Amino acid sequence: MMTRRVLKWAGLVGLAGIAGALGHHFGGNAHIRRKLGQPPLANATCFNCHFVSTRRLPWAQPRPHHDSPAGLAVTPDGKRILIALDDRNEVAEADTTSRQVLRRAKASGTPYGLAMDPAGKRLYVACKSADRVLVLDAMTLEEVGSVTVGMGPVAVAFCQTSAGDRLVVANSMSDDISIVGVSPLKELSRLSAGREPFAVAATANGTRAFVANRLVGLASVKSLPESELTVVDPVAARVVKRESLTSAHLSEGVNLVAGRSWALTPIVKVRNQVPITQVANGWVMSSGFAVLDLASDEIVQLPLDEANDYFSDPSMVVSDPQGLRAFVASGGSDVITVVALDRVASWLQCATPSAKADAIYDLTLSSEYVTKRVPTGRNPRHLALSPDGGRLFVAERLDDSILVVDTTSLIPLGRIVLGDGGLEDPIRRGERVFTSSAYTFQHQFSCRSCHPDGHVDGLSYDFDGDGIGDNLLDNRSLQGVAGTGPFKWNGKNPSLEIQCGPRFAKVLMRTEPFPDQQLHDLTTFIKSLPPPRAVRRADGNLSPAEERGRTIFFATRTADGKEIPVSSRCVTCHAPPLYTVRLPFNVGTKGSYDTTEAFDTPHLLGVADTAPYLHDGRAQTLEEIWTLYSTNDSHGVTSYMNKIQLNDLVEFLKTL
Amino acid sequence: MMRSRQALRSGVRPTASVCLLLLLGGCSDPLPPGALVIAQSPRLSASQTAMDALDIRYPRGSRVVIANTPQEAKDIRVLSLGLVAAGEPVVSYDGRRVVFTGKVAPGADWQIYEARLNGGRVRRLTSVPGGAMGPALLADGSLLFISPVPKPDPTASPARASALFAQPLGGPPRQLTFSSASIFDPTVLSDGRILFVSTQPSGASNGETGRALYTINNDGTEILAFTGQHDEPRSIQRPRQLDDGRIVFLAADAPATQASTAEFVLSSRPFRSRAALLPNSRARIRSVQLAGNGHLLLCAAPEATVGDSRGAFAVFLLHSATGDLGEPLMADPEWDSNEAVPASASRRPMGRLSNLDFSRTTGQLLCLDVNDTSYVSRDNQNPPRATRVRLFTQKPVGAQSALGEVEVQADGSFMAEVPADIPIGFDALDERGQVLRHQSCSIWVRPGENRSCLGCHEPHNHSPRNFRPLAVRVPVPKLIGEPTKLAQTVR
Repeated sequence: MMTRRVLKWAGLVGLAGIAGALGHHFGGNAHIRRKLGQPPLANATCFNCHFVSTRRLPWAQPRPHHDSPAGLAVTPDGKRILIALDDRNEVAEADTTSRQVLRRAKASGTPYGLAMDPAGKRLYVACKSADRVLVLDAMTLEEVGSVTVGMGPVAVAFCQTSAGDRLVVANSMSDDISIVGVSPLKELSRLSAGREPFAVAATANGTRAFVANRLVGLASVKSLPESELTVVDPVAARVVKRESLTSAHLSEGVNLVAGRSWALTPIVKVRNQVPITQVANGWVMSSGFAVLDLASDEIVQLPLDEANDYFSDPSMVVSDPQGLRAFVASGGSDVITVVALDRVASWLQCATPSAKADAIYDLTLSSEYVTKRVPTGRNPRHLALSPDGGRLFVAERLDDSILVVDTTSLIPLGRIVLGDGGLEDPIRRGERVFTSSAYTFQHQFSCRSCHPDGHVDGLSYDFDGDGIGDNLLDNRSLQGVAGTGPFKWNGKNPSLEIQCGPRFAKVLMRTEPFPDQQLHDLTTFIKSLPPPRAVRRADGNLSPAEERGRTIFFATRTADGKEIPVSSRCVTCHAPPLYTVRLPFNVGTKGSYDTTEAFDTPHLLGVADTAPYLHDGRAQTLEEIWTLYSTNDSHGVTSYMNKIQLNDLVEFLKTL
Repeated sequence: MMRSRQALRSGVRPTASVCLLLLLGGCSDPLPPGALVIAQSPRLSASQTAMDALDIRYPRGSRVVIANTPQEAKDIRVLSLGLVAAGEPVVSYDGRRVVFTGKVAPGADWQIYEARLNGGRVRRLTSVPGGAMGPALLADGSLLFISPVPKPDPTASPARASALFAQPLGGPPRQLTFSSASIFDPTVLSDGRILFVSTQPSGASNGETGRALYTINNDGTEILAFTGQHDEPRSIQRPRQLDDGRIVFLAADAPATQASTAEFVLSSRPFRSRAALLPNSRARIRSVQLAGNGHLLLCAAPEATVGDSRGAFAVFLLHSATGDLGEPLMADPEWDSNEAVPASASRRPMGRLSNLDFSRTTGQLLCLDVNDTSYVSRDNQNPPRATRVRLFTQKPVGAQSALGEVEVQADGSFMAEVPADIPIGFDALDERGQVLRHQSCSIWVRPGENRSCLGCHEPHNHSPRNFRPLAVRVPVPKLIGEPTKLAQTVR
């Protein structure tokens, strides 16, 4: 009896399966064609459009938090160090001698960058997700004030000027610099920076502040990329100069050298214009630092790497009070590089103009001035020196600790332990893989070298998988990428495991693939990255322009009533909630060296922050997609729009 | 089958017996710390006619042994049982087996053999015409070797140059190098590249060839000069990488010299750091090997024995920082120690996934600026500029045949698609067709390889500028027809 019942149900299930398969084959495909307005260019299933929910995606789930140290500030007496713990929304205070954590204080809004006034009374905290600078009493760590600044502040510098005390704040997401008066606490001005300002240093007399920008400015992908070192007058609250760092980017630190008229900033020297036929000899990128001589206004880029070993992801630089040595943190290589500045000066004095111009390309030159490589824990990022320069504090971000190094002997004295390293958490383990260059040939770069914080570097690269040709591919953000597979612009990698595994090993690492466990951790980390933060009004509602843009995005008819073909409606390919149906489409962007005309449809979450656009990065802005490139309605019907309507559409896209 | 029947007769099932054997093998006594694998040659061997270069280095009776307590010269076990001569031991990264060169009979070819360190029979790994030598191991366990074994007269032009081969576990050997020069002494660097010695094309008027160090990837791609291209003395042998990244090698005035001085270069600036490993010693050295913890194993004859052309080569343990030979770790009056290797596990080098496409028979070359050369100062405002590049190969061996010429773009870049796996040379030509710079057939491309370079004899260890070479914007010239005889050129 039981057997008959089982057989009966099995038969019914089987019949239902066959019916479903036939239905999908004959009816489903027709449904897909009807909904897309064209035959799909890749295998499509119900799950491309249905059963999609951002709430179920890994980045929407709760995740463990860690004691990752970010910005550091040492008190003027050198006895205490303040540590920003952005993932905990806390600021920690530790004794620099006993290396014990004394206390922790709440500082909501992702505290990241720190600065202290010379008297050691006030601590200024740049809170990245709250778009404000907190003012804490440096003794009690209690909040005594706050000021709203631009979007995503990550660094702050205090300077005493002739017009009073000022704060200079780098707002990484709104690409501007806030000049803040300290008393009263008020934003005085907001200055346009380069792209993603990330570090600030100010002269002692407050006449100048220098802001390092992490990404290159928007320009044609076929022109040389340039990032900016923005020079600011904090008194007049204006930009006085925009120094250009050619083919260099990812500057996350800036330092003014005592006794020399130098500003130092670490750089990644990028070669995105050269076809990636090899990685040996720094063919893709190398690491270095730029010396800006304020007296002569000359910038010289110098290498940190060696001929057969590389020190990737230089993130922060500090120099001692005597101006003799600089310390550069290499976040990908877990090393502090010690640079003898007098040797740098000697070399610069003797070098011809052409030698200076070629210096960054000579992978043996660092032997002239690099005197020591001090190993650290995982992912050294922020640095601070004691006021006398005797101790170097290194934020080992992914070890939850601060390494204390004696700068005379260059021997580690011990660690300030903030947390347990979080190795039970696969996301944390994955971030350690993501930020490590141990897996790439000669430790040349990490995943982070092209995807800072999992995001874009704003560049397009020429991979040689399809031969050597004038064939650039835009580097896409990994933020919010979970659930948006397949991957690659041609949509040929079905999963992140394949994308980050063998493909990455062959094309970029030029080594063997990540071991299975590390690969699993890595993809877990990537999937945990939420989309970039979008620009939205405080009340969550759309502005009138954004609302009009939303109507255009979902429109089925043009403004004059003509029906928009299904295949040309925005929402057909960019369907919510991910704003992609994860299928390739031909949007008329095939270049002469492209091997396909159909490209993967990117998701649009946080799209405002992912420039440049289109598969080869040819569009610098969202507007350019339609005003310069897809002018024949090949990428949605836009030819009916006037300037205001297109602006409205773009305003809506920026809210996604 | 016989063993299975015996096992069945004795009441033990075959699978169980296999398991038992494996278990016994796995449970054999571990090697004591400090055990060494040593290649030894008898000090008083009967004279013999050397058929090839290895016969000189490893005369009849040479053997590979394991010394569990190196201080006791007699406490050894022979690993190369059944072979008339053996040498060049390399211990696997897991520390369980050793591969070495050996021959089964005086007239036989040298081949590569394998033995387990904890006992067992010798197993032959290669069977290649002309013999095999210079074993090394890739990260995945693939065997590297050189073939053919060169003849003893270093000045004699070989019938074919010695090349490097890789043989995966259980697979056939595949040739990795395709230069017209002979390749020797491969070793695997920690970054996964293969470092080897190559004879340099003759540039001297007396026809002498020097030796220098080059690297390739584990699939034969990206040949690059490493060091020694312009150095004296002219012979370099047995390169090895040390813990601190230095590359140590033996240097001698002539390639046939068996004993040499040890020198090193820094990997951070290999072309400008060459120095003596033992600056205050006149010892003759036959090998230097990493021993871990900053120590080196040297097979050397101290200064006192200079004059004895045959030897008293002993094993010394040297701290790389002190540079003092001190007392030998193992010395045997009857045997010369040629090489000594720790009989223990060592750090596995980085592996690499190959991008080669064996469905193709060509590869592509991209030169960013043929006028970028260290022979012309960068401050020279008006250097002679190349406008065309002639590519040639050696076909037949020893004769140059032109593959064709390609136009140099305004920025100095050029590209060409060329046949894979043949030696390729270049002539940079000015507008009158005169040769400005010549590079002999010392590079090659593998099937599907995209090979690029900065310039023509460009400065070493430089990375490229960031720019879009004009050559990538025009169709790639295909030089894949039959090579034609190269007319005499004016240089």
